[in-house]
Amino acid sequence: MSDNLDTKVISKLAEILDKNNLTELEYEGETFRICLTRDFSGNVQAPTYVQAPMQVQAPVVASAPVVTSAPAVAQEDDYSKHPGAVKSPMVGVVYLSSSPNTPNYVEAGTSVKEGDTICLIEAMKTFNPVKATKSGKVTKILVAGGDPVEYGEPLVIIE
Amino acid sequence: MNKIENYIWEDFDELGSTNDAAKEKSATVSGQNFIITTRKQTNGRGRRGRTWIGLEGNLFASLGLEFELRYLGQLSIVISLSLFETIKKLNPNVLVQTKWPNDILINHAKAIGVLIEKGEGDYLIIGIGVNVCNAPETKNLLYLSTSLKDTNIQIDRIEFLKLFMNIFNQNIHLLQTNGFENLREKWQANVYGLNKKIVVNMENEKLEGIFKGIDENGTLLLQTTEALKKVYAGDVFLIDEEKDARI
Repeated sequence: MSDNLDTKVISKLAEILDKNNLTELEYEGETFRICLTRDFSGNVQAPTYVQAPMQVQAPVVASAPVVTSAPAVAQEDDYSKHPGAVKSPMVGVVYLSSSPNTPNYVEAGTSVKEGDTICLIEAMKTFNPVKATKSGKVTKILVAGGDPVEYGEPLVIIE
Repeated sequence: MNKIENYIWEDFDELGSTNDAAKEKSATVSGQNFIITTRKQTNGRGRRGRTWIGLEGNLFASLGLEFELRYLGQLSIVISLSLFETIKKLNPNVLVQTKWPNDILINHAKAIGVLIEKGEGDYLIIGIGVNVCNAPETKNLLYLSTSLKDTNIQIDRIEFLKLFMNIFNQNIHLLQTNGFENLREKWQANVYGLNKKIVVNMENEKLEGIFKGIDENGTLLLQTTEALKKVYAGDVFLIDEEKDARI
């Protein structure tokens, strides 16, 4: 792992964090894992940089992110720009079923029609159904029941 | 066609729930905010299926408002603040507190309930129940209940609604022109439990910590022993009072 690569990865991650208005982003490479978070005021905080478990030297390196143009980095876990992503319309807590004792609205592999309810988001005593934005098959569920979610966060992928 | 402020207004003799009627109406209109009221409500609802007892003479109203869901938290706080200011305008000497997320306590008791639900299209349905002249018996309720009449406020239900709507419209205008910050500060200045040790009862767990206010989405900020946590839903009590809560 070189310093050059570190800067590129951090820059790109900071860019993604900023563009998509996320509060936290984690990226794992072969030998490292980087977690960027930002505070309530929207400022990007210094990333926490954690070595992979097999490495023993230098456990933490803090480095301010530099948001400049950077070569593309493979973004396998970034679904926010996926054409089939259904995004959260608000901040809140996500529920995959209407109550704890009922089946989930959808599972990976479920076929849905545009307008079908795929989950609920609760905030301020209000439960809001999130609807499928197109017809197709649910290929990924990106959240778990009870997870807090941010505005614009991808929830499921429909393809 | 009757109007209150810029809202079309319909008043019924009896309805099951004004929120249900407003949800139905939201499927048939667009581009027009509206209010539905009823003299008698037979099936009023609160959070998580709780009932809202509908004694005649009290106010049962639901607003249908086209509003971006993203800002639901801010809207919820603005409603609470507007109710607070309405009560204060009617009786400046009474003890009124806002309570997260959108409750109002008068002399430590509940006289107003708010239930926001998603309507059709872009409509949010804002249900508001006010004990204008009658406070229901409090057996098995979460709080003691009171009424405006009990706090020396003599007002007709519709006159209260008109005053509230005037203040609410002004605050929505402030939100849209100046942003949320000043409104948040005003709400927080009178909130129950700020900087005190509270417990938040959630669906599956309880969290304890210091209530540090709300963020730009109206989300509660709770300083626990581990971290500053965001709380999106739950019932808030001061630690000492939680033991006495009538759940």
